[in-house]
Amino acid sequence: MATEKSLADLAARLERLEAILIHRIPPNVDPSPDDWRWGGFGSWWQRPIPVPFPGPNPGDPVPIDISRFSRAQLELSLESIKAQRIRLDALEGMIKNQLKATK
Amino acid sequence: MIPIRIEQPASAGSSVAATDGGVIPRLVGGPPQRVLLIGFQDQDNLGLRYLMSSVRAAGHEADIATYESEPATLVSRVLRERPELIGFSLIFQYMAPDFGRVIAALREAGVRAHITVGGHYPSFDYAEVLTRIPGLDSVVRYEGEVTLCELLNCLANGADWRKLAGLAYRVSDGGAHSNPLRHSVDDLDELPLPDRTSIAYEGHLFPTASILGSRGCPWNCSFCSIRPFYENQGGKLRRLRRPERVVDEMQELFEKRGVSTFLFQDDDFLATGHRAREWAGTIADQIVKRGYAERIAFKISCRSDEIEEGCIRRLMAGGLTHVYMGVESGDEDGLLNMNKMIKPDTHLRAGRVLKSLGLSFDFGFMLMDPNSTFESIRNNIDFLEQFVGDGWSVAPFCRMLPYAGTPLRKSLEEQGRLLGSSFEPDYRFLDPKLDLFYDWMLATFHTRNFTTEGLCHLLRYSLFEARLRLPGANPTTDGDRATLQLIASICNRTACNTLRSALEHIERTPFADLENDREFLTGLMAIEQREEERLTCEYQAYRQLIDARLRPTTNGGFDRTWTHWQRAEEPAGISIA
Repeated sequence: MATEKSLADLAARLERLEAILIHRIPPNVDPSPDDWRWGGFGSWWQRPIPVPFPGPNPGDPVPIDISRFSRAQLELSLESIKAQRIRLDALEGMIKNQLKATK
Repeated sequence: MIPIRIEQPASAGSSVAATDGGVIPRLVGGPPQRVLLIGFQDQDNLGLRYLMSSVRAAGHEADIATYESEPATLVSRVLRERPELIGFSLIFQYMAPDFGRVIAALREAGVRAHITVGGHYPSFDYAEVLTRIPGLDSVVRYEGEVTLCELLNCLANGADWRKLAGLAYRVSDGGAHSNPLRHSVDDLDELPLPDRTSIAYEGHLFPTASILGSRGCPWNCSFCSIRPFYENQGGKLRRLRRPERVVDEMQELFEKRGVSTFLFQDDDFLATGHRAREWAGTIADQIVKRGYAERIAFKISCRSDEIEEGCIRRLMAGGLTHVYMGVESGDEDGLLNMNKMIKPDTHLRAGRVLKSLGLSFDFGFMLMDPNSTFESIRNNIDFLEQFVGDGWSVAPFCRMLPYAGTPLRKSLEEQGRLLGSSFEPDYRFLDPKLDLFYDWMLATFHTRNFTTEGLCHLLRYSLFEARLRLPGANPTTDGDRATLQLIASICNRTACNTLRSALEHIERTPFADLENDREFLTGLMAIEQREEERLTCEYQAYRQLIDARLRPTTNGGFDRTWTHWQRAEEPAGISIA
């Protein structure tokens, strides 16, 4: 029984290590430009800004190298930001109106 | 030949005089005819309901079937019931080929009944309709109550119906012939009230009925066929029912059917100046006088220059809850070309008045028309943002289409710009880049603007409901209204931003480059649609919240269809009326 438990613990540990290794991308490798998709693009800048220390965690997104972006992609990045700004402006307007009403 | 035995046969061009029995010619001799009227039944389809009551008043039997593109159900019903006459109500011009297929299926199944069609489009283009739909026997042109009854009386007696005023039919050489038109019925109150017996008002959360207080519109907008429709048959351009009779009908529907919300389907409820304002005000006064204030709510349609605060307040006392405005354009030159005789500032002023009174409104808007330029479209986008960027109403938009009978179609024909077919008229913009912009716009905003799943439809209904002025029936709070308005605001502003970015991109990019590289436009479409998906999720959360409050106290729900035709007609540019 003890041997079986040890083996199971070992297997679980190996699985965890393997999962970490699979998700860790070497820091000198950018995502392929082919991976760029509109469906997922909007999410990269919406993610929390990564803190520089203590270093990337397994599964963290890699920084985006915008020098690889085409002109259209750069313009569309701005469009995505504008869409979010519209949302925030509208939300701000609603809250200000409510503030006025509560005075 | 069997002599025609009909009371008061209306000779061509003569006015139909009211008699003791009203204007409907009664059947004398001959067996009552069985009639099946077929059409869409959205918003009650009062056109069909007026016909149904007239047919019954004449002494015949009538029933209504909902139009379906798949003919099997209609064919089997017709074969089972064997009506002597089948009458199609063709509202949408571009549905004519579809109607043609159903009529062909009826003939193929061996149906020998007289098949006729009526409505705006066949009234204008009867020859085209008769040529392209060979299964038809006749077209009832313009207002059909009297003509249809006379046709039935002729069929009952085996008389020659081809001499009846207001009818068109195919002649032996394959062409089409129209008899002189029938003069309109001067006094609308002489018509029997629309037959609503088969409409299930009961069981809905807000039982809602359509109603007509008047017919016609004196304005002469280039894109609209309402004035030509009434002008061609002679008589007044706008006929008003007596206010008392209108309120009688509302009162009866309230007391006997539980209807508390009324949608006035009048072409323009406030058209013809002071006289119309007084007429409308009297309807509201009557509602108050009879004790129905705050128990009845109603919606009207009008122009923005008819929004006058005093008049609107008077209508609100009687239950006005919502206004539909034919805004159509926010560009000064565009409005001039449309012959709207109005300026964008008037629209904005009307919007401010309605908002200050807390009234919900919606509107029709044609972002593009045959004379559009980059400048005019930009002005329209800026206008939309200014008008409803705050989310008070959801911003719809489409392009203008040259429908039959409109001055626009005639003008495009004269310019040699009319394309497409008679059933599906079309045109190209003067700048070919705008054709590309339109194609992109249609693809990008199809779901939003033209489907029942789209934000336009969802928000339009919920904004109406949120500001419904029926105390005790409205489940929304100020907080709910703020949430909903936030969603509509983001929806409108995002759409305006997307439209503006696409327009600027197309304007500054050489045409050849645009054709070869759609990366930016495709990406812009994706961003717009992603935002719409997010807003739709947020809307659904709002809806769940409201519905949860409603469910415990009701046995049904308002079907939310009054704001939208439940089919995919809208991409063709049909404005919501």
